[in-house]
Amino acid sequence: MALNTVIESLGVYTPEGRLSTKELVDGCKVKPIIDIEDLTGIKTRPVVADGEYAIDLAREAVTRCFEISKYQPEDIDLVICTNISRYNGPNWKAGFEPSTAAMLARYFDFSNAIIFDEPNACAGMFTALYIVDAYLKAGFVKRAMVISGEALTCLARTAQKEISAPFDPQMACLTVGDAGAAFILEQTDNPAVGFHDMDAFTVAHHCDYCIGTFSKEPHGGFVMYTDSIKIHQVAIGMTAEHVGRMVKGTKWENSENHHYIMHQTGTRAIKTTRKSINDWVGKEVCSEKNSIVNVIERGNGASTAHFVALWDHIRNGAIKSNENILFAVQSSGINLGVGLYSLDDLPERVMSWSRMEQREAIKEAM
Amino acid sequence: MGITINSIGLYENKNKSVKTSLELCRRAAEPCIKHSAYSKEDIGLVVSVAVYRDDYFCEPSFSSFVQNDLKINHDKTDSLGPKTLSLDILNGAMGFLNACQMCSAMITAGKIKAGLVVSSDLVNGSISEKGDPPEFLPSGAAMLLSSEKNGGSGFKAFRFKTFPEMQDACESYLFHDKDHMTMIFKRDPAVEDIYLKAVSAGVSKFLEREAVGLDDFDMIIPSQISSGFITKMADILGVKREKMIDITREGGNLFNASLPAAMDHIFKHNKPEPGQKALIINVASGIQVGCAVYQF
Repeated sequence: MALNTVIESLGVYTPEGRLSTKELVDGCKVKPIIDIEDLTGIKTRPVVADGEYAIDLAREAVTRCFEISKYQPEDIDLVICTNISRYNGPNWKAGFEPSTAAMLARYFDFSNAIIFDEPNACAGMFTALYIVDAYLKAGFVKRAMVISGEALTCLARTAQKEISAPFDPQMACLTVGDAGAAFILEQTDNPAVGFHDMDAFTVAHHCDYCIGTFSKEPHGGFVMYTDSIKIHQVAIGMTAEHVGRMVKGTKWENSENHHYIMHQTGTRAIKTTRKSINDWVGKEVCSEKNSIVNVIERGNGASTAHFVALWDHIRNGAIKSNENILFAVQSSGINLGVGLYSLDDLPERVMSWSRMEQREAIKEAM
Repeated sequence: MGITINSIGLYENKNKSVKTSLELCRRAAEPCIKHSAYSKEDIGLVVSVAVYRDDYFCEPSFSSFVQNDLKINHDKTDSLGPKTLSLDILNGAMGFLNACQMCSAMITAGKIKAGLVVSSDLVNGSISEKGDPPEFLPSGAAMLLSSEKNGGSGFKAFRFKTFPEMQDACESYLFHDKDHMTMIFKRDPAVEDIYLKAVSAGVSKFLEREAVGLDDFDMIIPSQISSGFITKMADILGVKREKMIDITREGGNLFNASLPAAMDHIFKHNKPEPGQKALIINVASGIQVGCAVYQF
């Protein structure tokens, strides 16, 4: 019987700075006709400081992940970086070579690991997880690390200058937030924990519904054009069927069984997806109680969103050891994914690390 | 079970008539799929390894455009039946070898039947007017990988080593230059020697870990950077020049198309005997060395 893949460690870093939706909207030359905060529920999001970039977010997350892990960098056989953001220097510098993974090898001893970047929009960390599961099952590696540093609020800064219509394709840029996340995966011989099932695929017919590139305007920077209505229609509709088919007739169709973490784009999108899944299954798979909503204070953290949500809700005590998580993944592409996961004692280890960090912060302040 | 090359498609952009990365990709991938033993429905994974592609899209994956363009399970309305995952690997000129290993893992783990790897690096000259020239030949390449149940043929023993202390030798980035975004390539004038230094250390480590010698291989497939680079690599490894596969052309190195182009040449011209082995030695920014064995 194939062994389950388990998250051995998790590390998340969010920069200290905060940027409210009100500040962002107030700074737009042309204000959106829609109340972004009302539509998405996003009140504020973490924002990088001046001189802080995607690589810094990734590096801090990796550092935390190793602090919680029993492993050292040289124990990692495969390193995959999934950040969409390659914003790594002044004047909108975006690096193409070397890869982010190779850049991180300057800080951590990944010299004997397989390393590469695998950006795949907001589904990046999950599709990397799906790929790592194959490397582990094929016996190619013993453990792998998936990393993402998303410095995305640069999109919002460009959008403030470029939004020219009250209903503009750059409006979604006003929802993003900055964060870094990293996790280590390995196999477990305990069939009660880890990923019991997972699936991922791309409905590429809709690949042009959300496009991120560089700005052609004289001010430079990066832009993202989104047809929010179309992408939500397809992603939510297909997620309902994808999740529904995976859980129907199993213990996972009972909302009491698990926490539900989907991509964090907005509170209304989460609510609509929840209803669509429940309608498809004919039972309450996702309830208000079991749905993790992390977008209000974090914004849309793109590829990091699911794992920042997991981290935050472990740290606030909502998610505990040995509980179950139903991951649902949606991104431009359009990528769809589902993962059925049972936690081991990771939450206890994250909490233990948090308490230690608090004690050290108090000592430093004295 | 060995993971083998089922089909290769190449498109040389000799007169530079093809202006987009997606078009380069299509011209290589369509014949690759057509001449393979598989239908589009069988392709469970599409991996684009192009670092330099149209408009430097960072979202969605370039491979999703490729999947849509080639109509590979692209218009699903539910999760039933054949489906395809598309994703990009960005890792300089190491991407193609990384993708071959990824397909091998996905096929071995039983997640897919066949995987398509595509490469179509193309620099948009209108935003790359400063810095060093990109120095690679824009070309499209596609390789379809699948499993071979009988015999021990196919890819084996992938090993990668990174030398971060040499990283500054090779860099590219977009940045805002006064009133527009521009792409910069920075290459140390001695970058080929730096690659060779890494090859020396990386290949020694590979041979030690696999407990093999260079005599165990019938041919060596190096990165197709330049004829001079390949000659120097033969000298460093202490092997005869004839053992090195060299299909370098005027106009720049083959970058991510090196491996598929070299393999295509071997299948067409060397006509390898079953059981013959090739050692693949790939170099890339990072600085990285990747080695793998392909048994014919």
